[in-house]
Amino acid sequence: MKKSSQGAPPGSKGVGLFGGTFDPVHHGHLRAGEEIRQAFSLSWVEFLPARIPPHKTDQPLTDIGHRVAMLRLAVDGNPYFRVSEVEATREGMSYLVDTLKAYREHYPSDVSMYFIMGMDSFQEIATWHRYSELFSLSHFIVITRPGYERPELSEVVSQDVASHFAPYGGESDCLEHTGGHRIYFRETTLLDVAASRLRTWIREERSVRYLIPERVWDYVQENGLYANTRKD
Amino acid sequence: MSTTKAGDGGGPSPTNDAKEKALLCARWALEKKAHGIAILNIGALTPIAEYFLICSGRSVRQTQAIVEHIRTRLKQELKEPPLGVEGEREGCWILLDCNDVIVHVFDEPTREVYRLEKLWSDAPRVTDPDILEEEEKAAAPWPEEEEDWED
Repeated sequence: MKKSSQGAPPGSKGVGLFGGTFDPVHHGHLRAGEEIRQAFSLSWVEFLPARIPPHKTDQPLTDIGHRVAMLRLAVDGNPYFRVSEVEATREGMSYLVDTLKAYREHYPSDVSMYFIMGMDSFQEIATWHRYSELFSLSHFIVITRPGYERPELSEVVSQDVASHFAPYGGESDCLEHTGGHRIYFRETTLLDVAASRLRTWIREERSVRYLIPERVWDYVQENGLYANTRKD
Repeated sequence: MSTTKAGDGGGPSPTNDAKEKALLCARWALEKKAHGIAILNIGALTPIAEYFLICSGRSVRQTQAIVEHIRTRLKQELKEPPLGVEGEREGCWILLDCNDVIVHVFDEPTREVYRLEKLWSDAPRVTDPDILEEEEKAAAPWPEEEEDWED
């Protein structure tokens, strides 16, 4: 991706919050995080594994403690990558709106927040708790695969929410909310890795080496992750 | 470096002790090549401490090393282990609570984002010429001869 002044006015400070389940974290996540960090001149990217209650997913997630541990191993050595345990340590249901509110209160007011997410998740954003409030808290960066045609916003969110957005004249593929925050759609290098496929391959004892960091692979093996159908 | 003040007339004033402690912590931080030393006199603004010492390391390992060194020296020289530490594992912003002095050790991106000095801009800064001189000496020297780069 070309380095440019896209996304952040010169001199401004921004931090990235990369949301996901990271079950497990893989090179697709890491490479996307790195490209976004550079493209938007972010001070750092914080990987934010979501707790998500088990009854909300078809397949139970790996315990958040493991997912956090794998993330820590994956980001070790990159001074611009962090791991957030905010959702891991919060009791009860974890909603993104609460997490972003907490971060917004925590950061100085001159620091912009950029929530990074995959297109798959973005297409379901209207199912998230109080999702319309998210756009008043943070910018959004939706990462897509090259060549992917993004949907119209009105196909993803309600008409009422969509009506608050307009194309942002300064750059392509960017919508600006009336409150000032923007949604950026950005392609990142295609690394054809999907966590669900990794979990299947691990269960089938197929090698996933070079798709995930070596230390994460060691951790998976040491802890017997993904080897059997989880019961928790 | 001896620091004992016990036995001074009517006893040492708490503020002077705290200032001395802050300066000592700054020197110890410099022994581990910390940079961006800032000593803020916050006593009039808040009851939480008399002084903040703020400094930076260039990596998480360095911030952790700075904090470890200050902690060790405090125990050795002042016989005062710190009351607590926060953020040590992450290493981006480590807070060392030394009672009347609170030490903040940042890595560079974190310091730039939080700009603690700006938040406490009403606090008078303590400048000490010895500290300034030591900080200059501790900064990585720019090699003058080309052969300094050769292994």
